[in-house]
Amino acid sequence: MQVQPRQFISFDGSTRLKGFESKPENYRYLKDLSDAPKNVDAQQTALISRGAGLSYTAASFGEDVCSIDHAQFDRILSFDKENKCIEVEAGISLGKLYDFLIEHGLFLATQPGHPRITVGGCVAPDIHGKNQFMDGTCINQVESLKLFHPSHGIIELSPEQNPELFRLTCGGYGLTGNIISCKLKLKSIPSDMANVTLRPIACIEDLPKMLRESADKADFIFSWHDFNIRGKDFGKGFIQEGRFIANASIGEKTSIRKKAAEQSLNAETRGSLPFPIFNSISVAAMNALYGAKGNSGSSFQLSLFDSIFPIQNVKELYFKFFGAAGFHEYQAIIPESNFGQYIEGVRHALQKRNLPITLASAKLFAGKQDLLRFTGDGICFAMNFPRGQEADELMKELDRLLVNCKGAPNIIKDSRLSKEIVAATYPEYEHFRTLLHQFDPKRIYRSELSERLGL
Amino acid sequence: MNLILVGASAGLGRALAERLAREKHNLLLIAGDEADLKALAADLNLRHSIKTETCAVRLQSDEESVQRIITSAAAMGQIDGILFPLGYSRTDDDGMLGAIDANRIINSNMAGIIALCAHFLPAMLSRGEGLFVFFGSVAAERGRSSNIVYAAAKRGLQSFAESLRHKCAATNINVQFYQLGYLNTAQTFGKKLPFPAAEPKDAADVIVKNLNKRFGLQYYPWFWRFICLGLRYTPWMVFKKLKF
Repeated sequence: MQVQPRQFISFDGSTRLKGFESKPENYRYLKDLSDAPKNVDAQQTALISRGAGLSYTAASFGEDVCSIDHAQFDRILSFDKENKCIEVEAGISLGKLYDFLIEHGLFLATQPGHPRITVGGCVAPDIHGKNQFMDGTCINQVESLKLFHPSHGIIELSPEQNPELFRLTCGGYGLTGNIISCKLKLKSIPSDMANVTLRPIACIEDLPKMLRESADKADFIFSWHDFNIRGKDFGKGFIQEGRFIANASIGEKTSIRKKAAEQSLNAETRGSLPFPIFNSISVAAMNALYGAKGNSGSSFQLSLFDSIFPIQNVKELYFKFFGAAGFHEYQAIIPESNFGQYIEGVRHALQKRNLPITLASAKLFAGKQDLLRFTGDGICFAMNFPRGQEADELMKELDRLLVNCKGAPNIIKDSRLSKEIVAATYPEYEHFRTLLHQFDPKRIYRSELSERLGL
Repeated sequence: MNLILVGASAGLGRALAERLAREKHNLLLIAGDEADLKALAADLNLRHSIKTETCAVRLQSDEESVQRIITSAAAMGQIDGILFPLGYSRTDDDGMLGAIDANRIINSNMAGIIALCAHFLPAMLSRGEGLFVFFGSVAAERGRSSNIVYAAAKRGLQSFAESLRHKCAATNINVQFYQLGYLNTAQTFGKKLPFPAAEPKDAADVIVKNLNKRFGLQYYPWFWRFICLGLRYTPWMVFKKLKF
């Protein structure tokens, strides 16, 4: 397996490390990995899989770790339309998968917001979509998967076959080995069009109740809030509730999908602007404009592609506007009973600082937290803001607030989360670590994320 | 068309497989690793609804590997053309390779290709139509102290393609030869190159668009024509001092 040194950078701009990179083109690399301790320098024996490299955190690279690029492993291996099941290699992008499935009236129910993210990149951190309350997280869409580990070879995992390792791998941040392929459960789509209704939120404390009301009638929901307003209007915004329209079609243009799939956004190009465009004035103006669309309680129609992968046309700019310094995302699940306390804490923390909040958004979550998977009952709340000293202080304050509110942070979104905070918020942190060390005593698969969290 | 693609699993071959499948050509995919071939065939089949066959073999000039390809080709029906996007080189090809290693380079890059062409040529001649697409390397443009046997084999292949084109000149058998510069594949991964490497999918686009065009030799990327021209006419007194 050919390996070369490479400087990696995390998508949020926080982490720059020197590691190694390999770009295998065929399955021979698995044999090379099995022989790795014999063939590769000791420094390079630590491995981690890499998909599109769009994780906010350094989950697909680490210092002196060899990142194995899965770009060439993007093929569809089998498809059973009748039983709504597809087997794909882990490097396939969600956009490519979407293009194939839409022709058959099917889709993957749980997807993050960018079409270039790979299936392996969804399974490893057990991502969620805008319908978590209904469809769960990525693990709920995986029927089975094939995992490779140099000490164990290729292992088939499913809820029935090696169930513990299955749970450890879906949400294992790539630390159990290379995910080779996945069999995914699919859902039928009633049409390629969704009707989206905007419901204004005057008081953010009402959000949990309003999300619950929307959940009864929507296929996907998320909210948007303006956190740059001080006073009684703090957090006002709207809920965006979407429902697929049966037997309707807007004849989605493949050119739009193609354009989105060909976007150049990656960790390097994201930070191409030397200075940020976002500041208190520009963000206040942007939010005022965006927030105005929710005041009327209007509704509009969206294609399925735009429902799953929203605002692709401006998303590149949004992330680039943070400049080279990058951004923070603080995403956490807060138990509904403590949501008021959490929001009050956030309001208090923001009042002390002149920090532009570029995004504040919530989703409804349901389920039971397990190992290090980001799931559980509650409100999933996310905030974006530019990196800097004030932001660092805010993040620390939010950590303390979250522990008090018995919430859990999203590990894959936060590059500076400490082992202590994760251990305090994920009751099964130690159990995850124990299981991982039992499966892989040599701890071959490592990343900056795993080292930082003491895994 | 029913096409044979030799060296289909990676690099330019993989990109060509994808591009040809998009044009709805049925493909017999040939490469050394079965797992890669099966994955590729399944993907092309499902996404483009074409007929695919696979044959996991490393093309050599021996009877067995050629015969296995011929047997697999029988399942395709009439073969309309063969593309050979394959190459095998090694870093210790410095003129001191033993017979087995040197033969493997010659077999993979030239002799195996000639043996396979010899089987399918008679049927194409009797029909008066067909297609052969060969791929050389700018490394063979002028002999130098590295890639010695590889360059010799590729130059031999170029001569073979030229002869084949001459033989088929009165027919509709199209014989194309691409002299390839650097491509962004495993062969160039991690190497410091004096000129930019092209993407295999861009090369595949050009090659598939050109399938019906009649030409003997084409450089890809185009600028290599001028680099190679310069190399050919560099006086020996200067060339012998070049380190590359």
